[in-house]
Amino acid sequence: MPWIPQAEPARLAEARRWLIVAIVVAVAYAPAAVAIAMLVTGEA
Amino acid sequence: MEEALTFAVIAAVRLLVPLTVLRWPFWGGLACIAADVFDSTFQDVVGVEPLEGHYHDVDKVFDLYYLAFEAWVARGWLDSLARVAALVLFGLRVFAVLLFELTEARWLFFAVGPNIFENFYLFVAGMLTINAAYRIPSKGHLAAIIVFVGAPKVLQEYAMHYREAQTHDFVTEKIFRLPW
Repeated sequence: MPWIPQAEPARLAEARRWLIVAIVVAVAYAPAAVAIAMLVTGEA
Repeated sequence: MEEALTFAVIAAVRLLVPLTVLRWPFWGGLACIAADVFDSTFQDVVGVEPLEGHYHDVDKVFDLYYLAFEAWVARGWLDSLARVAALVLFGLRVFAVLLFELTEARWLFFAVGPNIFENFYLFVAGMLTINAAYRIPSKGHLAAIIVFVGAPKVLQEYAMHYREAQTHDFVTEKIFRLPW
């Protein structure tokens, strides 16, 4: 029987949780960061 | 011919990708954003602007189309606070788009209906993906969430629609320095 590495469900769930939180924050704030950059540099 | 083919590819992506929202509410929502970015990037890459420069008008319809899928999903949320807030925010967005079509005043997007709905939807869909039993605990929490996801959107739409900033050009040319 070959050895198959098993993912740790708790750690995987924790990683997935943080990934989703990071994505939500990035989607919300990255465009705002661009807007600030444009306002500061006079592009907007 | 090139214009028709370009538009067909874009339309296929923009019409089909939102279907994923029904199966995967959070990841499908992200795919819709990617599809939204794809259309302008694809036009840049192939160097063809379909509909004789009037693609922007169709783009707004595609945007409402995918937001409608998200609103449909939000309509089924068991948390009444999240559900009502999402549908009100979606209604505001639709109202702003309709008003814009009548008046051509871009600042309406910023003043009347900034797309807070999308950020709010992704927040709640993301929380439900983490924990299916997630509920917004109180009206105070709801207000805090709307400020958290809404403030950056208002700032973004202020720059895009009130100051009429060319954000797509800024990102592709000044930040990523893409060759097309």
